[in-house]
Amino acid sequence: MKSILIVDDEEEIRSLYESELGDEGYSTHAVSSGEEALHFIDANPEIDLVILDIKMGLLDGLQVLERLRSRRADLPVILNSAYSTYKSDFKSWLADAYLVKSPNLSELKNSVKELLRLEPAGRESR
Amino acid sequence: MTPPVDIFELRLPNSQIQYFGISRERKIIPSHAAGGSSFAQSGGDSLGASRIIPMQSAEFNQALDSAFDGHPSTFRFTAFSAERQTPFELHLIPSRAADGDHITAVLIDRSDETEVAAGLRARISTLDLISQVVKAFSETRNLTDILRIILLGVSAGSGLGFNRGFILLANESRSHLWGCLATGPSTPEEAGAIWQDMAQRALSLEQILRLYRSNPARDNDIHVNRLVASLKIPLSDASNFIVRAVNDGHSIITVPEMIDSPGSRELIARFGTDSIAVVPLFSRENLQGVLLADNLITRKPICSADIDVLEIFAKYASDAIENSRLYGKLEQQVCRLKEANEKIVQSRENLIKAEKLSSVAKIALDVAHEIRNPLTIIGGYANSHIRKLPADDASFKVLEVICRQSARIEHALDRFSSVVQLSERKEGRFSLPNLIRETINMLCAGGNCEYPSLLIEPGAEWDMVFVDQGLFHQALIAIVRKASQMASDISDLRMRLARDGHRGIIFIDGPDNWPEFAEQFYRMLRDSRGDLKNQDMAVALEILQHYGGGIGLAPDSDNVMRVYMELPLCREEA
Repeated sequence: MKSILIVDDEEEIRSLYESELGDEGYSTHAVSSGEEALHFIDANPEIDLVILDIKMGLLDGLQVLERLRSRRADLPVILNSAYSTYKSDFKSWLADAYLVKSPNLSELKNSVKELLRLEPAGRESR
Repeated sequence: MTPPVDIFELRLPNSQIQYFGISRERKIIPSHAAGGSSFAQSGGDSLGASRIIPMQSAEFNQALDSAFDGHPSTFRFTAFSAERQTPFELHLIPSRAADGDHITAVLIDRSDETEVAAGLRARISTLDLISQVVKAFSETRNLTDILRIILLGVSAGSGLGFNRGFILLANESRSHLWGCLATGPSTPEEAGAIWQDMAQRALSLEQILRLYRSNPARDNDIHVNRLVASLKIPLSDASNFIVRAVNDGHSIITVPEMIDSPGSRELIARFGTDSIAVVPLFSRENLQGVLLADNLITRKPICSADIDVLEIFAKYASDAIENSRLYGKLEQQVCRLKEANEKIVQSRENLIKAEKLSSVAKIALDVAHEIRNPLTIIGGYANSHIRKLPADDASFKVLEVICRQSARIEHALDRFSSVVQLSERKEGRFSLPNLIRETINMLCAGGNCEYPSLLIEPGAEWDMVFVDQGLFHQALIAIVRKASQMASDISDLRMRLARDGHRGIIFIDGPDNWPEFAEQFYRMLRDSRGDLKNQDMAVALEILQHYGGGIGLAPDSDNVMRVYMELPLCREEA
């Protein structure tokens, strides 16, 4: 079973994503900050994909992404933000996908499915 | 007693003077009879004084009576004959003789003085003309007006009296003389009509000028203007008499001997006369052009006195032309400054507006994003639950409404965000090699992936480009990432920075065993516009083109085709 880490400071978002992705058959974990996410990944190398919010407390999603790339360059990361403006920030280009939050989770689910289906070496970016 | 008339004789021995006596009965008494000795020496009554003095006139009798009363008097009159009019001056001097029955009269022919006066009047007229012309020059900065004034001064009836005038101006680089404007008749018939008209109307220079301004396309000057418009004389042609006058800096009156080259002969043939006054127009040693004048119609010879006056005239004309040209340049500069100032004001206004808008837009965007989070939660849960409920469940319709309305709000937010989205740029001069290194480091953050090789050619180490740093990174990341996907491994890529004149060139080379790589990669880049799958490439190209750069395909020194990106280098570094 593929394992997904959800990083978002909104509890209801975390719950929603855990519930929906759980229904899709994934094993889900959720943390509320960037610092927690990095600790969690260090402690749980079996994580297969990260859904990462951008605007969070001290360490924002783009900073987390940069550090994640230096630890796990092959780990697929989906940036998931209420802000579409970060798309023009070149740092966001390090992510495998950038999705704006939406009540319709089908695009998120499709991206997760797609990224987890691909082998790391041949993974399509963004 | 010696009559006082001897004094005149001594002072003006060769002048047309007679002296004699006049009796109370108005009879002429020869000088010797009146006691003098020099009357015969001056020719006696050779002028026929008794016949020419209007003795019946009241003025004469009044003057004579006054002299008999002991008061010297002078009487001026003009004698008329068939050929000429002669001005005379008759001085009546009381006699000192004891009998006092006659007075001494001195009759002086003033013809010479009248001619001198006529000469003086002509000079005054010329000075008056120059004064009018200078005044007219001072009232306009328009070059055409100035040229018109010059030509009118040269040729109009109240002017210097030449039949025709032509102005050729030197071009900006002083390589040619161009025919600009001319005035004057081309045939005696035309001249007759114009001059008669002018004489009847007795117009001043100012009035004629006003007439020209009100009707610039006067029919009279069509032929001369056609002639002058056809003239383009290279100042390098020293065989041309006009160029020779310019080179020597002296005015000339052409004579047949000067017309010694085919070009000069052709010019003379076109003018129809071999006697032309050529006056170079210099202002502060800068050649402005040449003034030509001739008497094609009257065939009156041009003399050196004419040239003297023309030169005085030309001096003022040259200054007026140069002033007009300088004023024109000044006006252009003022105009450019005005435009630049308007742009600055406009930019400042736009900046203020943009700042205001960006503040408002930032707040609006923050609000929109704040709405998106709860919307995702509400709509997301509604979507999640509705999938788990049967359609006949009591909550189904309620959740359906929530899902529909959430989608509606989301759509509105998307549209709003796309309209007010901010794009903050940080443009500046950046080191091109550093930008490339930064991009490679970003691509391979943490060192867990291989780097493409990078070669900075000598001379390109300090190349600077003006870009938005972030946008440049974005463009190069997109291009290198796409190239690495094609090459299947980023470490297969080779990048090389070189300089080509004022442009920085980044060559991107694929794997050694893939000779067609460059062509395929280039095609993909080139065709990325409108291709949804390659939107990143399209954006990258837009960024490069925005900063004056682009992409291309060219053979390198080893004749192998390579894809390249190029950007203009900052001037001082190029």
